[in-house]
Amino acid sequence: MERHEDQTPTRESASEAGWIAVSPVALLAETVKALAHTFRRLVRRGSFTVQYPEESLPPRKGYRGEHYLKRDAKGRVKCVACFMCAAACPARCITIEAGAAPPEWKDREKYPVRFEIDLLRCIYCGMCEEACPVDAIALSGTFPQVASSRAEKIYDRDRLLAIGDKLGDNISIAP
Amino acid sequence: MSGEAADRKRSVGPGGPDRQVATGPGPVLCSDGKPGVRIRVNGRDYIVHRHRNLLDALDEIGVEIPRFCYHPGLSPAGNCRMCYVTLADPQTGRTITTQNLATMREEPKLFTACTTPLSDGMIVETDNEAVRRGRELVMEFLLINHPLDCPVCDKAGECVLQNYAFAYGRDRSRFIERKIEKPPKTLGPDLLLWTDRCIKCTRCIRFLDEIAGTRELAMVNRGDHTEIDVAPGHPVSGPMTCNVVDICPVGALLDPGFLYAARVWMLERAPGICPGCARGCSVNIEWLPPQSAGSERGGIKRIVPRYNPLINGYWMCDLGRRAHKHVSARERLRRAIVDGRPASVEEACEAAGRRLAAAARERPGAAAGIGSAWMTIEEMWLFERLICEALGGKPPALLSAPRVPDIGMPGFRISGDRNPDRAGARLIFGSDADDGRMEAAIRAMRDGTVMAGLVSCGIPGFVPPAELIEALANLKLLVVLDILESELIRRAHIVLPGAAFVEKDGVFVNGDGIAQRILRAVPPPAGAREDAELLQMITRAAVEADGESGVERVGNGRKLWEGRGGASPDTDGATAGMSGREDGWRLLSAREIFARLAAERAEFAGMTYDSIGESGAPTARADGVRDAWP
Repeated sequence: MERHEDQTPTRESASEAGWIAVSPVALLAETVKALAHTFRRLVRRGSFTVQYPEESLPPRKGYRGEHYLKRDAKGRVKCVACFMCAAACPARCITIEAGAAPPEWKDREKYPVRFEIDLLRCIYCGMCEEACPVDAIALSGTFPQVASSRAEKIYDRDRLLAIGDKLGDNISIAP
Repeated sequence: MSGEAADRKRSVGPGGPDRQVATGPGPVLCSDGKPGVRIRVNGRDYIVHRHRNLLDALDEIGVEIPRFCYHPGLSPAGNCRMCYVTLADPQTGRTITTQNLATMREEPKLFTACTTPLSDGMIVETDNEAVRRGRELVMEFLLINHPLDCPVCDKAGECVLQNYAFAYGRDRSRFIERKIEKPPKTLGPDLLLWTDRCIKCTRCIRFLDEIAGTRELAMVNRGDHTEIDVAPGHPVSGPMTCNVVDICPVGALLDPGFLYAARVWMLERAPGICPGCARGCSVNIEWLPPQSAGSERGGIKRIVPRYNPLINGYWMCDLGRRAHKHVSARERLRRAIVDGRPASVEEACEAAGRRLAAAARERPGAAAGIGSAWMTIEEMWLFERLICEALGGKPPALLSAPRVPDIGMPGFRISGDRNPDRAGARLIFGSDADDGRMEAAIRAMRDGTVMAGLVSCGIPGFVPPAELIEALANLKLLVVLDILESELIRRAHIVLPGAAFVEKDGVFVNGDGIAQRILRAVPPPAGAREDAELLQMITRAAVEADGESGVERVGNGRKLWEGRGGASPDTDGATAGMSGREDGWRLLSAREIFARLAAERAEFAGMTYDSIGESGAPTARADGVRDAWP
């Protein structure tokens, strides 16, 4: 197809040169070739169609889907509520409320009491993941799911943690 | 030495322009006529004021000199070694050197600008290779044990160490040893210490020694075990504690009242005045916009001092820092009430004006007003117009928060007059407003001479005196304009919700007679209005209830409104919140009200909002002399 276009002179250059660009015979030959391809595909077994959502393709490397939060080595939310993701977010979809860590978390000072991402505002740019200084947030390869209300698309802290748990990417080096 | 630095060195060489700098004739004067000193900085000649040290002079010129331990409001300590400069001999122009004991070579000697006295003819370099290298080494030392916990540190974003590490530091440390970790400590009810973030600049110690005078903090132990601490059983507890949080160049000392409340870069700020006492410290109001990135819980997060040499210098007290608590209190009035039922603000003002006017018509002098020392002078002016002219009542009496003893310290004084505008009330309502008038008003209400009252309070936590409450119970109509639930509100027939000091424009006059502007930083709660707006709407309703005669009475040759619908020359953009009316009545903005007030009152003659500016302007005394404090 691309090759075909390359060979076809533009209307201007054709009229300047004073000859007709494509002969009817050549056009017919190409049409026949294309139809042959179509029929060959028709009788061959197999199909390219994926029956989404029953089945889905594995995401390509680097695909940015639903966010998830990771846990630290002790199973606590890894996020330290530094607001770097919220500062980096161009869509302003991250809402954080920081609080002093519970007294039994001896090695932690600050944690997110509330952490929400409004996936309807999110543009899936991945800046939050890049900005995070403790590697607590990441974008998974999962397609964002449909929802029946706007409220369902606002993911809170525990839901984001649950996505991470499901993916199994919840333990990494503590900050 | 780079080429640029070599050029500079040549330019201060012997026989050059430096001789002129060193031996000019006669006294040197600055452009403002004050005595000055000639110095040469980075090859350029300047005349600066006679500062106490070189660093202040360099600050005046505008050359950036990094510093941790020096603070212009405190004595110089010279312990952080960050404000390095090199000096040259004024006679020869040669840089002063010292022997490096490691290499045994002569190197430029580094002077700390904060402990170097300023002298005439000084030749200073602030950014040559020796200085840059010196700063870099200091930064490396300071960061040896400083934890890299900026993500959880509340100071991040306004941290001097963070900024300087970026601007002057190396990009990595050569130390492989483990950083020393020390647990955080509680130094007092309003002060937390993250021990390992401290860089031992001693600003906090010097502040408590020199300004607050409480001397609670000290440095204990030696070497890298050095830390700030209090004597056992003697926590930091004075009323000036939180200033050490402001002056701490790192996130070591933090205010538990602001801890984790917001990241500082998310805060919006506006200049304002603290309403806590008659001193009226210049402050910055810092709030989180409701829809800002990262948080929905908006509102005022903190009040910090704003430098004002006329009023408060660099400091303010902790009482003032907490002065915003009532703004978002649960007890805040959020809707107007007429006879126990919620009403719109317009309806309530209409009812208030109509019923006050009806009472005044029934018997002259039957309507009275009680203002407060928390009103702006614009509101007082409108209030007096409404009471004395529209309703024909006596001059208003004054409510004020009770007086407590002054708190004196070596470098600061907190006024015991816990009202921001008592001086303004004396100017607008008359000098006897807060003396005998309240007794007279209570008497008039008791014996039934006064049947209807308008009270404008706005004092947070105000407990009205029992005899006032008792007297108000005799009234057939009580209209209360306030911001918080109180005993007054429970007895009122009509309640009008007003605006707090961060929600309105206006002028307070402090105890030293300095007029200062407050600015509307955040909007009042939905359902509440700026008090000046409410007072104008009440006046309008009262005047219209009386027909043309009322309009004439209030007009009185000096109209409150510039005619119906007439635009006034001082109309400007400051009319936010003041809606225009379809029938031609236009509500005046605080700026416009001030312009009328200043035209009338000799104390404010010639003043405008612009001339008051952000730092305030002294009002004139009765004899017309403007006399600034101190």
